[in-house]
Amino acid sequence: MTLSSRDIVLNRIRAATSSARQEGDLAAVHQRLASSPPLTRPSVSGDLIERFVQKALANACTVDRLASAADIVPAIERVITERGLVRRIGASAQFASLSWPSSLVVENRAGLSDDAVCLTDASAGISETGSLVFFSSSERPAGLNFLPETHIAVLHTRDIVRHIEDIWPKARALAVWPRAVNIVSGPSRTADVAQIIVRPAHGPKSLHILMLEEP
Amino acid sequence: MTAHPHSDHAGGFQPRAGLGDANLQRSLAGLKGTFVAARGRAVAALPEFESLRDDGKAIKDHTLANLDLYLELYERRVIEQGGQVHWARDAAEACDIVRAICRRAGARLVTKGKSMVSEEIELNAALEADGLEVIETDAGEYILQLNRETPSHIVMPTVHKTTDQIADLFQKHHAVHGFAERTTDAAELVGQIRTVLRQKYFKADVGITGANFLVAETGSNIIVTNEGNGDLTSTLARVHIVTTGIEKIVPTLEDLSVMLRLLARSALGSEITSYTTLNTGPKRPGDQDGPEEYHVVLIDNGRSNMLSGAFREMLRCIRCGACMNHCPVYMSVGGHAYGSVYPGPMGSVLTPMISGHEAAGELPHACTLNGRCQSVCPVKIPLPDLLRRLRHEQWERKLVSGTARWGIKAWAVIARRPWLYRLLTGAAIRGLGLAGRRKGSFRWLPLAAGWTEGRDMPAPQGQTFSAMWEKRERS
Repeated sequence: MTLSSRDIVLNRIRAATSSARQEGDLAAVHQRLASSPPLTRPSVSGDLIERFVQKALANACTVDRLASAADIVPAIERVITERGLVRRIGASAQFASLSWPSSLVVENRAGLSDDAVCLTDASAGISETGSLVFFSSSERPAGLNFLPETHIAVLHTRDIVRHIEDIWPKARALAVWPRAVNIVSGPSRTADVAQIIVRPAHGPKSLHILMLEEP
Repeated sequence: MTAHPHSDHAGGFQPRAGLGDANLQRSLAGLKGTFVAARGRAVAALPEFESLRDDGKAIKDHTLANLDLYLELYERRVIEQGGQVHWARDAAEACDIVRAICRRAGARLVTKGKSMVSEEIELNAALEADGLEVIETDAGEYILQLNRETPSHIVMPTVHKTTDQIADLFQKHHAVHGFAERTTDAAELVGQIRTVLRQKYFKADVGITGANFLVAETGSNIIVTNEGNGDLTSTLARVHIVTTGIEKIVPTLEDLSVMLRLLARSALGSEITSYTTLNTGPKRPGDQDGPEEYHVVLIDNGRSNMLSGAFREMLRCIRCGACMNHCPVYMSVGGHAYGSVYPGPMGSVLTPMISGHEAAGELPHACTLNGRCQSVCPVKIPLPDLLRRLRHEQWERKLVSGTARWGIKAWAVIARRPWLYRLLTGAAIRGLGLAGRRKGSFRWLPLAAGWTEGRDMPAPQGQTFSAMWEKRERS
């Protein structure tokens, strides 16, 4: 019987590792998978929400703080009017059902190559880095976070967590592990032409965060 | 990884072109002013950085010691999520696997995110030989592909290219896309790339990306970019293929979090990049986007050999590029001088491991053993020790040239006999001092023409160091 490449590679690895492997190692692997050993986390001090805003601004995002969900539609109207954007939005499913003015087309669908604005809902914000976290699903096509020129994201302040690690319990609690977990920390950029920072590269030119402060 | 378009030599260290290239020297100085400085600030701003380095090292050491177990678990998770895992012993098999997936998918157009391992296995050439159109989507890699060049840096592949050179290149290649005017505006040049590639993402049959990390717990591959090109590649093509080395794996999402902090700071001086994405399997039932097929090609290509023995430490490498950014040799000669896919200190260790000692030539000697690479390495790889060990192995394998062997042996004879050493150095100092009395320096010296070609040798003005030391001790 000829060995598969899988067996050959694994056998090579075993030959290099198993001689040093001790009795408890397999248990240590299972233990580690069951609960992570204590690992270093940077200290994140002060108010989590204020720090998130400060970090997001430093990441070249813009932030609009809203008192209630009723303010979402007017806030988006404002951005679209101010920036003179095309009045058609690709959005997560939950936003398609809001009451939009008839002059705005809001569709739950995959992103298009010429999308000017997309609106998605962040499942978490990370105070440590000012990042937004998106879990893809049938209601939340991942492409909406990458295709538009202006990406607008809604984040509830109650979903702001301290560290990167704090988003994993949320992800593990989902019924289906998402195809894509997107941690987005600012608009798209590159420095590949003469080390000059240019925005955007392939993704959104701007990332506008609507921060919903209702409990 | 032998024949590359930018060089006609099969590996080995070729420093001359880079030293004489004024544009390259300016770019390398720029690298120091931007990314090296930014890393310094980012590290200074994080008191926990040293502790993170210790964790990063421990995570990788634990994973490598149990690599078979974690790879098997990872494979199981990928399959549970509807993906497929392929194992490749070497570069040729890895290319064949990707070619076969493309063939089965009836592919014509392939988009590619940045993947150093795909450079290592020379994947583009293999796919192009099958008649596929392959397009690099990372702005830097795209620029290099237009000019049929290889990266000169693993994080900033175009560090050697000037705006003018890119402007010329685009004028030549982008007229067909409606950009007839030459521009040297960086934003306009990037805008052209965006326009040209936007349609390609949607038309692509297959999207290939690398993996900055793999997570065993979930069966995810992680890509980290600032451009968003990797995500458009993996989301919009019908088939997503991940090409990755077997050493990229970490056990859990908590381990990943530590590695992400180390990578962004060490590579770019950022706390985090614009996009950090975990992809796991193909689109789920009901998903409106995402690939129909998800494949991972786990590539060995010399890595399992490194697992036994001292070079296992090199498998901790997370490809951040900090070692080259802090290397006086890399910063003087640039990445192409190394004649291999991976330049700088990490490349000088990896190249002989992947391509063999013969292909590496003088690479282990392209190092001053100053130790800065080790001091900035986020996973504490003892690069100078590994380079020294490679020198030793080259000696053992008789890969050191006859002249060098003779010279080193002669040196050993002299250095082990202090009386002889003193006699000879004393005579040499007196002789050189006399000969150079008039001009004060030498423009040429016998046996050292290579050294004096680039600089003058000052004529000795007194005694040897040991003679002066002896005198000082006595007084």
